[in-house]
Amino acid sequence: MEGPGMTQDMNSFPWLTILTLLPLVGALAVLALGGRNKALVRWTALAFSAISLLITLVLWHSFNSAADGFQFQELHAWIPSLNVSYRVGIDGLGLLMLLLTSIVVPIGMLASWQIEQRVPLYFALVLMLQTCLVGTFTALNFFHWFIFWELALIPAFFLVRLWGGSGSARAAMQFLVYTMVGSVAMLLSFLAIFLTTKTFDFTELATLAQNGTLMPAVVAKLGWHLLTPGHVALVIFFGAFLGFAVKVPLFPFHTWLPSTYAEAPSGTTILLTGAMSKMGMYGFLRILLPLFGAEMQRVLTPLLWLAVATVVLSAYTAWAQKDLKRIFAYSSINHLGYCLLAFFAVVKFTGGDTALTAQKFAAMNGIFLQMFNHGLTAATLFWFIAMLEKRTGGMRGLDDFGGLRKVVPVFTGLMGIALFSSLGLPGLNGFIGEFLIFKGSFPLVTWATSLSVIGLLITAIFILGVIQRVFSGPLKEKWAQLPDLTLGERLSLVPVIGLMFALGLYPQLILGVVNHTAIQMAIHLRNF
Amino acid sequence: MATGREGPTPVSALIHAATMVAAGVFLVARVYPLMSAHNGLAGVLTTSTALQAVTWIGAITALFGSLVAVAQWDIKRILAYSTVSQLGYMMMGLGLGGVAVGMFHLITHAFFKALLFLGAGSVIHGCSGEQDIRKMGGIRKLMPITFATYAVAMLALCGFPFFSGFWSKDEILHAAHHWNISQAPYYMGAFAALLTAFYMTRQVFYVFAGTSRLTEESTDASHADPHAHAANHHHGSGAIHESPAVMTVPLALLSVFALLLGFFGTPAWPWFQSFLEDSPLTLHFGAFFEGGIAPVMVISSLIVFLGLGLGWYFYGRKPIVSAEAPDALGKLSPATFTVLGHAFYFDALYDATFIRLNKLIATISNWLDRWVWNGAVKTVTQLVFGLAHLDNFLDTHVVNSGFDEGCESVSLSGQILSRLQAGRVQGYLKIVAGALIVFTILLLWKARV
Repeated sequence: MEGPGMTQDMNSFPWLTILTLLPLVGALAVLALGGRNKALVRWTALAFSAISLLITLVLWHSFNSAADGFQFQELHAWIPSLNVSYRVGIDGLGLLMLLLTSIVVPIGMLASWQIEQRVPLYFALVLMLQTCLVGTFTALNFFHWFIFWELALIPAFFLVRLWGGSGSARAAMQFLVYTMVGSVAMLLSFLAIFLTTKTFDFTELATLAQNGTLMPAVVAKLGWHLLTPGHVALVIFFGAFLGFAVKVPLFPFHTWLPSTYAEAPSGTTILLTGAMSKMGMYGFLRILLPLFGAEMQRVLTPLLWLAVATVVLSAYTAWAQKDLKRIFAYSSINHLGYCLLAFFAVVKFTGGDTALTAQKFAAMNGIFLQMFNHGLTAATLFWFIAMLEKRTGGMRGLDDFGGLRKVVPVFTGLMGIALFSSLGLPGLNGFIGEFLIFKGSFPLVTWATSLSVIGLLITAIFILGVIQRVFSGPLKEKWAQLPDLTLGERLSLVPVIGLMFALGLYPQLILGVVNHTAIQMAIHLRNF
Repeated sequence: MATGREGPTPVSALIHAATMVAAGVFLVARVYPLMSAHNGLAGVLTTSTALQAVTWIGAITALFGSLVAVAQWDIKRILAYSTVSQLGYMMMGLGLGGVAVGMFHLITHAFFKALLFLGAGSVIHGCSGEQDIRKMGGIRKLMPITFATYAVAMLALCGFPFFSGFWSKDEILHAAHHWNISQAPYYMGAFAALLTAFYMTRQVFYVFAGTSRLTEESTDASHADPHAHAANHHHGSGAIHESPAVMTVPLALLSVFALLLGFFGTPAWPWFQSFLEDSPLTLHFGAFFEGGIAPVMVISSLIVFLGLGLGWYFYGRKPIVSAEAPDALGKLSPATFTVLGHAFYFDALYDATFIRLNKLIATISNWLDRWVWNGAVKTVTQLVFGLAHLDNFLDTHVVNSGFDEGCESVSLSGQILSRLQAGRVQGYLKIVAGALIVFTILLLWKARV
């Protein structure tokens, strides 16, 4: 991450701060509107998120995809005595995550349209969550990055707790505490780093790490003579690692996820799986990769096996589930496991061999694409589940249905597309990320990649099982009058499904913007 | 493959004849340079390990498919296993003779197999959805066009001289006969050809010959079958009639191909081979008598005639009257017939092993997730709760009560001390008297010392 790459006069305008604060303003507006006119509240919230989407598209359009470093940067002194400044900026990765957020949040809102209790509070929390997400994806100083990271838990907790199912209290509490434990560990590690380097800035820390001076300095400063310097460095790394490992999630830190996703209202699950899980992966890429590359290389084999376990075990467990939301919760773990596999593959090799470098570029691009495509596809799938719940009064068991394609053919067709995208069918967006990940990882970490293929097979099996059990077979009498998709639902689904096809057939739409960043990130390890 | 017959017949035609099954063969042909690469001695013609594996698997498949097809009762299942067998031939052809040999059989097979499936569909349509050949019969007179085209396709599949299948299959057998590694694939292919002729004759006699065994019960039963023709409520053999032109015209078209396509790849004028291999093309009838082609052709023809004859012997000599009668060949060895009918229990094997294993892993994975990984988290949670309770206990009963005890003793000592200020003069006088005595004793003690 070299010096800031500025684009003309775009940078004089604080786009990113506006993008961060706009949903917050929307939240306050929605709360002010009160609970009498629910429709007005919903449309206002949707309007605010639509404006965010527009701004993100403007940023996407004016982004310079060939430049190094961060764009649209803003830098303000904040707490000089602590050497903390407010610094935001985005590169290809950040921009991609902003785009994902601005697409997923409206989807989450649309899927929550049928919520009737405390509507202003619900949509205010969703908008607050969007603020925190944008803040996390744009922050370049650990201080306010961590603030947004932690703040995001609050709306998420209440969204799960207050509108969730019967087990939502426990699930929300588990989610909150588990994530916070990880965050505390991460905070401690960063405090150790701050004590030594007196800076929280990501770029400065990355430079120090690149020079190889970061960890030795931290170890020397801490002065723990009971452990060897190498072990101290590993401990620091593990603290930061834990915070992100819980969030992605990485096996075995994933157990909070299924019950949280299942108990949350489907609109919230969309936000959790579409955007919040990407925060963890973003953290891996933005923080762990530049700062802790050497430490990761030392424990790479266990990390790889954890990634493989994430992929394979979650796929098998998904197959054994009987609740549609739990199936796709485990499926989310599985899809992000591929990202982790490719991530560790990239970390493994530094320097030299241009053939390996090309594979690392593929793997890194695959990670970016998989993050985006999975966010889109998973959000759409939970949206369909929300529509199904709305029609069936909350039922979402795998064995509750059957033969639905005769009654709701349009729903079947469109959800089928989303299901096949999740399966990774070529021609749809889910294939591209997975393909690049496997292509890039196979030469780098052959055995781990080969074992991960099992995840692909089992995913295909359980997704086809869902199609068979829900849409084919004998039709239950009580569903014979199930209404198909309304015009509004069809219209709102068209852009999303269209995007799945567009990205599946022409991934260059995204790759063109993020490729340079991916390459830079893959190269960054070279200097270790 | 065998369960793919559950789909509607035109789909079967597509899948089993032309497109889906062609994919595997095409893939091997496409990556042929990779498959044929070997590190043998320069100048010595040898088959690479990959192609040897392809050949052996192909030969075994050809034999397996044809053996199983002999014992099937469903008209489409016979054709399905026949496709399995012919795919084995194609793979054999690729391994033994190269891309042109394998692909030629692929092309000819596509046409006559599609014709067979569509013909079967026509028959099923005419029989109101019945698919069991024991319940058919007499279709020859009732559906003559279907019969004629079916016969053409059947002869092509068997490899009857001059039909398209003859030329393509013979190329494969010829390549097998001249393989320098082993003659076993040739014998397996030859035996499979015998069986092909045999089971196709069996099928034709059961379906088309004699009189119809279709009864009201069987059509009623087949009406319950979802593939039955819903609008047609005819019952019994009186209902069987030729299919409409929309079905018979395609049959006729395909039969033209089944007859004539082979002439694009005969040894005399190998247009197809020269197209694929970019080799020179001449019309040369003498090619039959070079390279040992003619003897192989004669032997194959004899094999076909033998197979047809055996089929006639078992199924054509005496008309099949009853639908419940056992199979004429099956009577010779019922046990073997049953094993063949169940396709050597392959499906059952896969079900019992691979599928059950994976389902078991899924169950175990789910159990682990619930009780072990989650259990670890729950244990930590319980420990923390326990610590919280302990802390609460210590707080209430030790720290706090310690404080309370302290307060108690202060209060108690205060009570005791307050008795000194009881306000009763007798008490004060008692203390004064006592102190006086003590001091007197002390002074006297000190004075004595």
